[in-house]
Amino acid sequence: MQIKKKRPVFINLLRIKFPPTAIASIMHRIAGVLLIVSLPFLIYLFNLSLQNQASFASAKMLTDHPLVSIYLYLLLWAISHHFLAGIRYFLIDLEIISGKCAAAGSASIVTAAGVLIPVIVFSWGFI
Amino acid sequence: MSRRVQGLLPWIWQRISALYLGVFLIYLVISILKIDTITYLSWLQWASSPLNSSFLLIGFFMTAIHAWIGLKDVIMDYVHPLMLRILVMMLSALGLLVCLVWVSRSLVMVMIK
Repeated sequence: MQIKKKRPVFINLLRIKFPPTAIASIMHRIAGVLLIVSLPFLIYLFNLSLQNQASFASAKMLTDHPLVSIYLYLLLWAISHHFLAGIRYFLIDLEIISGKCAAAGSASIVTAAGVLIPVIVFSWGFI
Repeated sequence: MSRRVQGLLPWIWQRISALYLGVFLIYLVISILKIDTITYLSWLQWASSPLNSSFLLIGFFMTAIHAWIGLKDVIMDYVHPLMLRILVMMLSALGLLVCLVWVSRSLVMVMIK
């Protein structure tokens, strides 16, 4: 038997409505890849900060550069989201979060908090 | 290990490394907040203490494992031609290995200085 029901096919990404769980999930992935790709730069900064007084100062100067600092805030979002989404996966594994409602709710909290953390740190003027 | 549970070992390692990195991240944030003004000396002292440098070295190792398992899954989802997939995987593994050796080596250099 063939199903002939016509279903809408949206190839346009802007017309597809993603549930909060899907958004948290893809962001977890994007954040992870972003962090991995950033490893060489982070290691470079780490090494520079530990070598000597002068290299520490130049590392600090580098992070004070507006573009670098925007990038670091992006990485702060990435690690925050990845960390929180990871905790959410642990809670799902342990069946503490179960069911559609809890899954969607916790996903929304994770996505929101992941963005909120860099905003709060920015308002403190930390980096 | 039987073929049916092929993915079990990476699945477990992904969670072990996640647990370590999560706890370490919290410890790192608390430690940095505790140092009120971060200078070269206070940062060096923190990073090269026996306890913290050990945590850091284990952390680098766990990061490499965590990154590799995650990246492998992403590559398997998006890169389909077999040869290209193998190539991308080999380059990623090599890149991560180089990162691991690079960062561990420089931390050890600081510790013995």
